[in-house]
This record gives sequence, structure tokens and C-alpha cells, in this order.
Amino acid sequence: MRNKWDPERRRFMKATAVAVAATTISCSRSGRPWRFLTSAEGAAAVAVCDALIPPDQYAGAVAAGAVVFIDRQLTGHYRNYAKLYRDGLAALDRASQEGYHTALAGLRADCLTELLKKVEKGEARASGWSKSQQQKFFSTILAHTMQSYYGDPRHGGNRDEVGYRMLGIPATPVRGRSKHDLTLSEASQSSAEKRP
Amino acid sequence: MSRKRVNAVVIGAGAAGGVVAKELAEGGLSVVLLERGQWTTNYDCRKDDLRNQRTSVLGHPFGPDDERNPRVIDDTNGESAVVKPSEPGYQNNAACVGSGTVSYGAMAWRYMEQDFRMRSIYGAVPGSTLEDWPITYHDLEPYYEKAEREIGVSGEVTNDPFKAPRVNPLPMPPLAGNRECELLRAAAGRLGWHPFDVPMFRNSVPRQGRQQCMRCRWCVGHSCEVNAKNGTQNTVIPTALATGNCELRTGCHVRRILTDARGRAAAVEYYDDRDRLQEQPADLVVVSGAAIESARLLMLSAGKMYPAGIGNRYDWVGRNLQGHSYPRVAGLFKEVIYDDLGPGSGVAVCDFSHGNKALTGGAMITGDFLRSPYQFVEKTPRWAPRWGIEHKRFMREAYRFHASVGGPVQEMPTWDSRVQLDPKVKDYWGLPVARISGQKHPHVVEIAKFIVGKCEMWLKEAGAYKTWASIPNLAVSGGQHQAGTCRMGNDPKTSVVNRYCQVHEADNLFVIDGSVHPNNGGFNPALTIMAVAYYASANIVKTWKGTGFRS
Ligand SMILES: Cc1cc2nc3c(=O)[nH]c(=O)nc-3n(C[C@H](O)[C@H](O)[C@H](O)COP(=O)(O)OP(=O)(O)OC[C@H]3O[C@@H](n4cnc5c(N)ncnc54)[C@H](O)[C@@H]3O)c2cc1C
Ligand code: SF4
Repeated sequence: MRNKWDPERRRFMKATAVAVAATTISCSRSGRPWRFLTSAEGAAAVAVCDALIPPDQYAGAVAAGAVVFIDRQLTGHYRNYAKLYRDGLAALDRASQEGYHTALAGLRADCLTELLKKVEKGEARASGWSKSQQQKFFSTILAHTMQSYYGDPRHGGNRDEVGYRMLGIPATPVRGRSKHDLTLSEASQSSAEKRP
Repeated sequence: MSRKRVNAVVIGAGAAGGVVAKELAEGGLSVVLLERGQWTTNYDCRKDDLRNQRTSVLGHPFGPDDERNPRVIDDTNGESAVVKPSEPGYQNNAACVGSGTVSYGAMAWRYMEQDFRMRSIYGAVPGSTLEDWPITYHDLEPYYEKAEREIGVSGEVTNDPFKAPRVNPLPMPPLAGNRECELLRAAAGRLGWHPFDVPMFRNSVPRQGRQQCMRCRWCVGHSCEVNAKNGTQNTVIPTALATGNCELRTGCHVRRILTDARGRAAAVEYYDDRDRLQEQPADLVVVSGAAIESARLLMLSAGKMYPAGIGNRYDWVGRNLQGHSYPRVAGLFKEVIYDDLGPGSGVAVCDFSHGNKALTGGAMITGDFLRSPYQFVEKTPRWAPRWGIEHKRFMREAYRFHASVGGPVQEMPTWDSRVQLDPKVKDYWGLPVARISGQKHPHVVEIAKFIVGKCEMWLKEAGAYKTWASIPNLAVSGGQHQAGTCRMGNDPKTSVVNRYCQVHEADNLFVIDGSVHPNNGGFNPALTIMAVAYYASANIVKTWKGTGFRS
């Protein structure tokens, strides 16, 4: 009999799972790429996250899934930050318009870095954006970007475990080894498999 | 609904409660063990850098749940905030069968003889309620040994000349050290210190039907997927259930202890896993809810005879809340330190636990458990670039090249570090939540600064070319090492329970958990909590006679 944990079989199962997931997404979410962020906010978040962890020989924050991570958490554990992001990204865009006469998403990388350095200190100029609001927004999106890059891939960031690979530490092994104890009966194995 | 009467109800299936339930059940008493959390098994084990009991930015898997269990925290500026269990400041440990012992780092320390006699050795500390324990190390020695044997401890402490005398060696040999551990061990030796292998609740060899540690990098804060980490959930609690005398009810949130006309405990009232109010009558009640919730429960049980809560006639319940402050130093090396071998924290020294000039106590110092990349990001020094390309470069040059040491500083208990019932905020069940307020004693910070100096010496001797320190502030500590809120003592006017953990005012009510520690030692507390639980249970079983007590 073929082993249940044969890598070939697992690869096949993974492929099916992805295909299924893809169909569901295309059916239910027409056009809008994010769960929480608007398209404009998404574009702004993309710009900010890649400034915080830019690509070099290793992927930047965005390619590693930072915005997916943040967007997902804003409808989940980080619900309470929803307003902070909504207001913060809008204010950052205003700061870009006022200081550089262009929308945040189109801002040159060096200008964006300059702007973010000001926001970090609470010194950016945007109408109605206080020093403490700027600092709070900056430290929050910075922390979340770091979490996405170095945290567990299951939350949408650290794609292909780039955060671990960049540091030179091994990728996550298959978790829950006792589930794969082949001395278990066939029945208990399949029920263990279904656990989330 | 009232249930069938039993001999004993134990509230809380954590470190202490698990031991008590097993000892009483083996002693022939019928026991109901009530736990507000759930069972987790190693099948539920998910190693997640962002969602665990140590780093809970995306929540924490071992309870209590964020939705139903708020607390109010007063900070040092006098501002108060309502916080959830996964948020900073909550002072969380855990809430599940086994509680913190499911996900702990699993260091299994005996306190030193001096830790029980702090006041006699060092004298009074102004502004602190520092006191001797009413029992000594020698009262506990046999029970320390029993805890080491029954829960399962590995390590090798022979080379620690400062340890209290022990009769028998630890039941299991230590795990081999990782690179960080061996570097630190050699450096400590060169400094003339006395390094040794940290005792751990962890199988280094197969034992009690479970396998040995496979040395992963996700240990502290996580449960163990191969079930090699020993807590009450995989040792004494199953043993208790196997006696047939103990029933464990999970998802049961105790709301108060009911007393009879003479002021003795008569029953406990709890919400079961479907939120139905239940009443469980018992001959005796043991509160083992950990320092914050045990104090809260005594206060929630106020009634005619106990206007301020049971055991609280002299206002000691909830006072002297302690935990531990951890001064830590990290250092950068020219060589790679990281070798992906968990759990870390393999070597320690007790050279600075006591006898430090002008200091009351000190701390055991040990290497840290493995730090996840995100934990490292949170602890990078101020001079390190926080973001941008330079941040990435720093991470590549620092993460695998760093080592970290630190230790739990002796706390100086204070009257104002305390747990109270909040007058306004209620939990999901409508019960007033714990309000935590006060500050650490400033001497704790002085000791911490001294310890930081030793940590820096240690890392530099090991080869670090640059170090950075974190020194605790005055914010009240409790959290994972919470203790002290129902102090043990001989005088009913200055303590809550007697030397057998029996509430002075109600002879069939016991508090058995970290709450009873008059001071919390310069070590992680779990083994001492278990030893006290064995000791106090032995006394209950010995004096137990039907529904009354032998005198
Ligand atoms: C990540 C982590 C690492 C740690 N590392 C170490 C270490 O290396 N070494 C060490 O010595 N210690 C360590 N600890 C601390 C250790 O786990 C605690 O000291 C110990 O569990 C405390 O024991 P206790 O009996 O006082 O309380 P707990 O073990 O917390 O037990 C209390 C139980 O009571 C339950 N309860 C409370 N109120 C109620 C109620 N009203 N109704 C029903 N049930 C209730 C709780 O849900 C809980 O399960 C660590 C803890 C954590 C979380
Ligand atoms: S380090 Fe060992 S004891 Fe800890 S979780 Fe991993 S395998 Fe289990």
C-alpha cells in the first residue's frame, strides 16, 4: 500500500487545495483585492511596507505578503486598529500631496523614505495629523510589517519563509509530528488530519 | 443546580491544583477539580511565533480567552486601562488543564535556603513587607524531591555549590547543551563562577511512557508536540483521574465560595461550560487559581461573616503581588551562535543569588531560551536601524550571532502592589474583575542593575564585542510568575493562610498555589509551587477524618 505521507501524494493534495481555494476566491470577491483595505489604501500600504522592508537579494515586505497579513488581521485580531489604518493611510496620503504634490502610491522611493522618517518622529505636515497620531501610526505599521516578515507564514506573511531564509535559519518543519505517528490506526489518523 | 456532595473541590487545574487533586484522590478523598479552561493535547500543538503564551501579538492559545476576561490595570502614572489577556500589562499566565505548565519554559528550580529566611538574613527593607516563610527549605525538601520525581525533571546540579542540600540526584540527566550554552559554560568557568545544567521539567530520556525532547526551537510559550515537556496535564492530572476518585470538569468558571453559618466553606458556585449556574457542595475547598484569580475569588466570596472577602479580616488578601523582573543583556559575536537546537537556557550560575554586598538577595543568571526572529526584532538595541535596507542588513549580521543572558531578580514585596475588585468593570459573567495596581520596590531595580553588570561580564568573557542591556522599570510585576497575594504566616493578623495553607479564618478552606509565597525567591517558581502543594496536601490527607478534621 502506498504510504499516506508519501511526498508525491502530499504535493498532489496541496495542488488540489490551492485550485479549490482559487475558485472560491474568484467567485466571491469580484474585483476587490483586499478584505478590509480599499484599493487606494492597499496601494498606499504597499508603498509603506516596501519602504520599511525593501527588497534586496531577499524579497521585500510586500512580496513576502505584508499587506496580505495586515489586511487579514484588520478583519481579525487587529480589528481595533482598523480606524488607525484608515485614518493613518489617508493622512499619509495628504502629507504626500501637501509636501510632494503627488499621491502616496506614486511617490519616489527616496521621497517616501524621507516622509516616513518625519512620520516616525511625528514631524510630518498634514492637516489634522498630530504628532502622537503620526508616531502611533508609524510604530503600529512598523510592528505589523515586522510581524508579517518574521512571523509564521500561516498568517499570510513570511512567504516562502523568506524571513527565516534571510537569517539563515531552517524553515518550519512539518508540525505536529505525533499526528504522523504511523503506528496510529488509519481511522484515528484521518481524524487527526482534519484538525485545523 | 446542586450536585452530589464530595469531600473536596479544587479550583484550578494548574501547577498546584493538579498536584493537590492527585494527592487527595490518592489519599481516598472524592475530589472534583474545576478548571475554567479546556484540555489541550499535543495534537493541538501549533508552533506559531506570533501566537503563543510568550509572544501573544496575535493572541495566545492557552487562555483565558480575550472576550470574557478583562482586567483593569493602573499604571505608574495613575492612569487605568481595561486590558485583555493577550495585551501587555494583563499579567497573564494561562487558563487550561495544566495552565502555565503546558507552555512554560520548564525550568524546575528549588529555591535556596536563604530564600525562605530573607528577613532574618537581611533584616527589614524599608518600604517592603519582606518576611520569612513560616516553613523552611528543610520542611519542603522531601516534597521538592517528590515533585521532581512525579512530574519529571532532568538536569545536573551537583556542580552548583550554592544549592540547598538535597538527598537524591535529579531523576534524569541533562540534555546536551547547544552552542550558546557551551560558550557560556566555558566563559563562566574562566571567570571563576560555577556553571551547571539547569534543572528542567523535560524528558531528556524516554520516561513515564513518553519520549524525550527532540530539541525544537519553539519551546517556551508553546506546548510540546512530542509530549516531552512535563506539566501537570500529562502527569499528576491523568494519575488523579485514573484513581477513580477525581472528576475533572473543564470550562467551569467558579464565581464564589459559599460559607455556612459558622463561616466554614460549604460549597462552590460556578458557571459550567454551558453557562449554567451550578452548586458543588464539599467538605473542604482548595483554591488554586493562581495569585491574581485566587485573591479575586476570596474577595468575590464576601458575605455576612466576611464583609471584605474570606480570609481578609486584616486586609492582607491581594496584597504583596509579586512576579519577577528580568534584567537581560544581549551581546553580538563574531561567530555564529545559533545552531537551531532548542530549548536553550541550558546553563546557569547561582554565584549572585545571595551574599551580594549591600543588596537584599540577587538573582540566578542563565542563558535565555531560543529567541524567535520576531522576539529579536522587538528587543534590538536603540542604536540598531529599525527599518529599511539597513535593518535587513543588521538582522542578517546580528540574529544568528547573538547570545542573551538574564535572570529573575528577588522581589521586595510591597503593601501597595495589589489585586482588588474593580468597582465598575465586570467580566462576561457579570463579576467584578481584578484591578491591579502599585509599583515595584525600587531596590528591585538596584539589584537588577547589579545583575546586568554580571551579565555583561559573562557575555564579554564569552567573546561578545558589543552588548546591550534591558533593565526593568518600576511597573508592577505579576504575570507568569505571579505570587504573594495570600501570604502564608503564623500570625493571622499579618497573613492569610497558616503554614499548611489553611485560611486562618476558615479551617476547611485552603489556598494552595503561588499566592501563599511570602516572597518569590530568585528563581522561577513552578517547582516550589508544586512542592508546597505536595506538602500541604500531605497534611490534609494526614489530618482528614470523614467530614471533620482530626485535631
Ligand atoms: C510562557 C511561560 C513560561 C514559563 N516558564 C516557567 C519556567 O521556566 N519555570 C517556572 O518555574 N515557571 C514558569 N512559568 C510559570 C508557571 O507556569 C507558573 O508559575 C505556574 O503555573 C503557577 O502555578 P499556580 O498553581 O499558582 O497557578 P496556575 O498554574 O496558573 O493554575 C491556575 C489555574 O486556575 C484556573 N482558574 C483560575 N481562576 C479560576 C476560576 N475562577 N474558576 C476555575 N478555574 C480557575 C486557571 O485557569 C488556571 O488553569 C511559565 C509560564 C508561562 C506562561
Ligand atoms: S524543545 Fe523539546 S520539550 Fe520543548 S517543545 Fe521542543 S521537543 Fe518539546
